[in-house]
Amino acid sequence: MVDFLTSTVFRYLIFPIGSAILGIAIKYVTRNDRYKSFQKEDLAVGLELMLTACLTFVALTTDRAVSLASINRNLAQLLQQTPIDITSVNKLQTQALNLTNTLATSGYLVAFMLLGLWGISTLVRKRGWKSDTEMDTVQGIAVPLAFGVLSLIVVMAGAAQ
Amino acid sequence: MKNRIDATSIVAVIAAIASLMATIVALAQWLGLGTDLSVALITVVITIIVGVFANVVTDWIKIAKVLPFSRRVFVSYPHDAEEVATKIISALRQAGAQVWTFKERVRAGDNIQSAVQKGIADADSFVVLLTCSLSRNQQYELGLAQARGLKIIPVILEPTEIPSDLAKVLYVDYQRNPEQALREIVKAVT
Repeated sequence: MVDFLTSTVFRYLIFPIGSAILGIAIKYVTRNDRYKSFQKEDLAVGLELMLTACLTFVALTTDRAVSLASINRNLAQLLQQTPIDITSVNKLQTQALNLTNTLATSGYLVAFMLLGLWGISTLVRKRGWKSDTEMDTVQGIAVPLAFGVLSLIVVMAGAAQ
Repeated sequence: MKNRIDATSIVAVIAAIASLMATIVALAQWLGLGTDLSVALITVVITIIVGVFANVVTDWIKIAKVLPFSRRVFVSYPHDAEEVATKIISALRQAGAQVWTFKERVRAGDNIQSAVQKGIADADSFVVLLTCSLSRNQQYELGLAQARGLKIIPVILEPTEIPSDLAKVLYVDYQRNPEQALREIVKAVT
């Protein structure tokens, strides 16, 4: 089971598509039952996925910062011991360096994700509607959905590192 | 909308998806992309296809009945048939249908044409109560329902000539046996 949950197919195919399907199902079941049954606009969950990905990435970044602090504490303890365990110190230093590098770019990634969210939502508002109630399938549904799924994939890839 | 998904369509779609995935994998190998990137690419392509063909996907979901749907019925009636209409609407609601009526859904200040168009766009079937003549509003509503391909159930309340548009549609005769007619209407729309 663990192998399956950490597999590439689960991370980059089942998880993003499953999230989209769940989003669509929730959108459908919460709508006023007086109105039309399932409609194509229910498939437009791309922006929700992008927002979820963005917030998940922020939470992931916080976890990384906490991990870095923990590594630094362990490193300080190791350096106080004599003789110093060089292997463990090197290992922790490498981990700390990797986390620092990742955290250094996280702010920019969040900024780009928010920029993307603004851009796609503007695209949907300006060009995504064919009429008052009907969405354009490409600019209103497909493009935001693809960006939403891509955002989730990026976050999953980040979490896997 | 077609009433069923035929096996050929399913096989064709599965074949197309398999072919597309194989193409992406081959392309990924040619470009030297890893497994992660290839799978991510396949996911994004599937998503784009689903979005672009949202109309077809929606129809398939509806036809497959994988989600719990309430049947939506638009009831068109002249003002002088309100008493009978109330009985029919009540019977439909008891059977679990969502019923659209002008009196309940259109409020002062609403755009009548837009409201009626929305009501018919949301409906799965259209019940039209026929008295001595079809009113102009009913003619308009019937025209929209026919244009959208809704299932139309004419219900005759008093001796009248069936409009030519409905000449080939089996009607329900309410005047002869109201109880039987109510059962027929409910059966037809749910």
